[in-house]
Amino acid sequence: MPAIYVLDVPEFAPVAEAATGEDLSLTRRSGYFKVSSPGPISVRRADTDLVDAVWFSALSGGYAGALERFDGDLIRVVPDGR
Amino acid sequence: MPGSLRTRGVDHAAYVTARPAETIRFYRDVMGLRTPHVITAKGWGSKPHPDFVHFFFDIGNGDRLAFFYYFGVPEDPGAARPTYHLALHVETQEELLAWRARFERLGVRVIAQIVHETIESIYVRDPNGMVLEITRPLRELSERDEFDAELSLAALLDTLEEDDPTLETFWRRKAELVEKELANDPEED
Repeated sequence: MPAIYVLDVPEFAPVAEAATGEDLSLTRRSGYFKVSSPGPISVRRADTDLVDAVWFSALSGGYAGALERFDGDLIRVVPDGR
Repeated sequence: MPGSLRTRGVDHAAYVTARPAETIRFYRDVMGLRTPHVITAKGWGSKPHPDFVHFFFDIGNGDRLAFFYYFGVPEDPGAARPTYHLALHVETQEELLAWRARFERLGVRVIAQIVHETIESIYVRDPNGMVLEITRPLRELSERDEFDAELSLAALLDTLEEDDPTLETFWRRKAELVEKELANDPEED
């Protein structure tokens, strides 16, 4: 199941808040946000107000699944094997 | 770090310069740094540069930036520019912007001003081609940052065991390590 882990600090929190996906689940514990979904998870840069340094480091907390796209506009993590 | 055995900041960082005059003018005159110490030595440096001057600049907090100039060793025109950089600390954005203004007023090009995750920085090149960063904190680092950093290094070491380590492999391993922590602490904040 795709998941994105985001360190719960002010500069990275917008990554978790901007994540979208079907039946998205968001938990916050142990210093991390965990965003998970049975399907693809997307984060659109336009939905955040992140500077380049944070945006391009947005997955520093790790992800589960397959990274389908990561560029200046969109991060998309999909189920493995797609 | 074990027990009470700790280092206490930078005593001095030492680099080699083939442009000593420009280096002195940059750090002493443009940046206005004090020169608390200079060493000269005859025949003590390794060949082919036995005679040297080793000069120090005060970069604050008791820390020093030092250069070696070796007599008789011309600048290598084919030498690559340094790929490392040195970052000096200031406390406030006002100080950062004052440094930017000072560099620009004195003809030093500011390459960039960048807001990072936890710091904001300006960048210039010194006469040796080394990137010199001046940076101010955006927030204090916390135990949470350090814990996350420890997981990141563990993930990196695991990733380096792979035949073809990639950032994707690192991020996926990091997720596994974070997930283990979550499993150990199932309570919601």
